[in-house]
Amino acid sequence: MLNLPAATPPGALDLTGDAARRRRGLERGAVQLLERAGYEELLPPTFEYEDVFLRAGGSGVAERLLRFPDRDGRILALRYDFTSSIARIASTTFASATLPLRLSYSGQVYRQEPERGGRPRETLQVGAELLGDGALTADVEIVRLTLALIRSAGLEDFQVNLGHVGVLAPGLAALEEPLRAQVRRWIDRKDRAGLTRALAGRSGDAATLARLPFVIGRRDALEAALRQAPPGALASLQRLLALDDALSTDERRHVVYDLGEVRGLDYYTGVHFEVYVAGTGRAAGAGGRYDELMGRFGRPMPAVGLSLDLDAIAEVPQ
Amino acid sequence: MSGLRIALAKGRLYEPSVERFRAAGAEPANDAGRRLLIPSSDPTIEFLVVKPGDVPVYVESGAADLGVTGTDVLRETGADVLEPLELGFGFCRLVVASPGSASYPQLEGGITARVATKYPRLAQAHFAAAGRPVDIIQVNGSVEVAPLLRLSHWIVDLVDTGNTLRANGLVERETILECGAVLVANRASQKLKLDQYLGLMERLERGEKRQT
Repeated sequence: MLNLPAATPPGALDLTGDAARRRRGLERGAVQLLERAGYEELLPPTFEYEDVFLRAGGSGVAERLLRFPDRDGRILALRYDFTSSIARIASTTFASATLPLRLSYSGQVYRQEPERGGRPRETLQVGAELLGDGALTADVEIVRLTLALIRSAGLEDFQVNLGHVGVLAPGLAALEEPLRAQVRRWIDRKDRAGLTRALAGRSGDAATLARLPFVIGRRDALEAALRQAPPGALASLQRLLALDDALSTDERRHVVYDLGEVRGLDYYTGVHFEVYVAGTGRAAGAGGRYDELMGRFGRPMPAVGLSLDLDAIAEVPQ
Repeated sequence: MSGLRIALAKGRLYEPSVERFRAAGAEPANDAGRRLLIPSSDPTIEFLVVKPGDVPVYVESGAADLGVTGTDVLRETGADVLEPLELGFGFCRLVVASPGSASYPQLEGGITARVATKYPRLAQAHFAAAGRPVDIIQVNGSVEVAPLLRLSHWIVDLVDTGNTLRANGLVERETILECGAVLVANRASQKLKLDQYLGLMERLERGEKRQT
C-alpha cells in the first residue's frame, strides 16, 4: 500500500466537501471580522530559515519543526507559527511604521506530532497581533477580539481561561533548580499532593505555590487570591481585575481566571489565555502578551496577540 | 455529554478502582455484562472499561474525562494529561532483570544485550541516559520467558512480589521506576467541567479518609 503513488504521509489530510466548506467559511468570517476591527492582513512565507522560529519560540519548538535543507545547505522550516514571521517583518518592512501596529493572518502552520497516533501535522490558524502597545487597553482589546471571533464561528459553549505569568513568578523565583522544574511539572499536572510534599517546610513566597496554582474561577476567585498572594504578585492580579472591569457582563460569562497554567511561562510576559470549546479534547486557541519577543528581532516593543485553531473549531459537533 | 465519563483499566487495578469510587459514592453497576459503558450509582458519572494500556489515550483525546491508570503505562505512552491524585494502590516497580547465572551489566565476549519488554520507550530512555548500548525488542506478553527462549538477554518488566521473576531464574538488577495507580484527567475537560471535577476530587479524597 505504502508504495502506491496515491499514499499521503502520516498526518497529512485531504479535506473535501463539508470539511473544506466549513473551514473556508470559518476562515472568511474570521478574516472579515479582523479586517473590520482594523487589523491589516499579512501573507508571510510558508517557509523561513529555521532560526526565525527558534529565535521566537518557547520551549519545545526545536523538536517540532518540519525542516528541509535549502540548495546552499542552510536549513529551512515550514511555518511553525505566524507570530515569528510577523515579528521579523515588523522589525524590517515596518521598521519605520507608526505604532501601534495591528496585523492579522490566516493559513496553515506545520508541527511535528509524536509518531504514535498519526495526528495531523498541519493546522489551519487565524490570528492577530497588536504590536507597540503595552497598556491594559491592548490586553482587553485582544481578549475581546478572541471572544468575538469564537462567537462569530457560531459557538456558544466555550470559555477563555485567563492567567498572568506574574502570579506564580515570585514563588518560582524563590526555588532553586532542579526543584523549580519539578514544582512546575507538578503544577502543570495539578498534582496537589506532590506539590505539598515538595514545598513542606517552605515559607515566604515559595509556600504560596501550594495554593495559588489551584485558584480558578470568576472575579471572586481573583479577589480571594489577592489575600494569599506574595507582594510581588499583586500587580499581576490587579491587572487581571482591571481587565475583568473592562469586560461586559456577556463577555464575562465566557471568562474564567485560572492561575495554574505554567506552560507559557517561558514565552509570555503578562496576561495569557487558552480557549476551550465543549466537544474538543484540547485547547482551540491561545494568546497573551509577549513583550520580550520583538527584542529578539532587534526592535524591542510590547506585543500582545491571539491565535485560533480553526481545525479544532471545525471539528466541533454542530 | 454533560456528566463525567471515567475510563477504568481491566486487570489488577480494576477492583481497587471500583472500591475507591464506591467509597466516593459512584459505584459502577455490577450487572453490566458486556456493555462498554457502565452506569453508576451516581447518575452524573459513567464508566468505561478498557485495556490498561488504552486508558491514557482515552483520557488524552477527551473520549473519557478521567481515568485510572498506572504510572508505568502513563509514562510509557507519554500522554499529555493531568495527574491530580495518587490513589495509593497498585504499587510495583519497573525493573531490569536478567538470569542469575549470567554476568551483569556486562555480557561476556563483548555482546550487545538484547532487552525484551512491553515498555520500549521507558527501557530505551533508561539505557540511553546511562550511555549503555542495548537492542530493545518489544513483546506484548510473557516477557519473563524471553531469556529462557533466547529471545533476549535481559528483560524490563513490572514486578510486584518478584515471584514470577524467581520462578524463571531471573534476578532483579536495577529499578527504573516506582509505579502506582493515579487518577488522570483530560486537560480541556478539567476546565470545561470544573465544578463536577472538583466535586468528584473532593469525594475521592474524603472517601479515602473514611476508609483509613
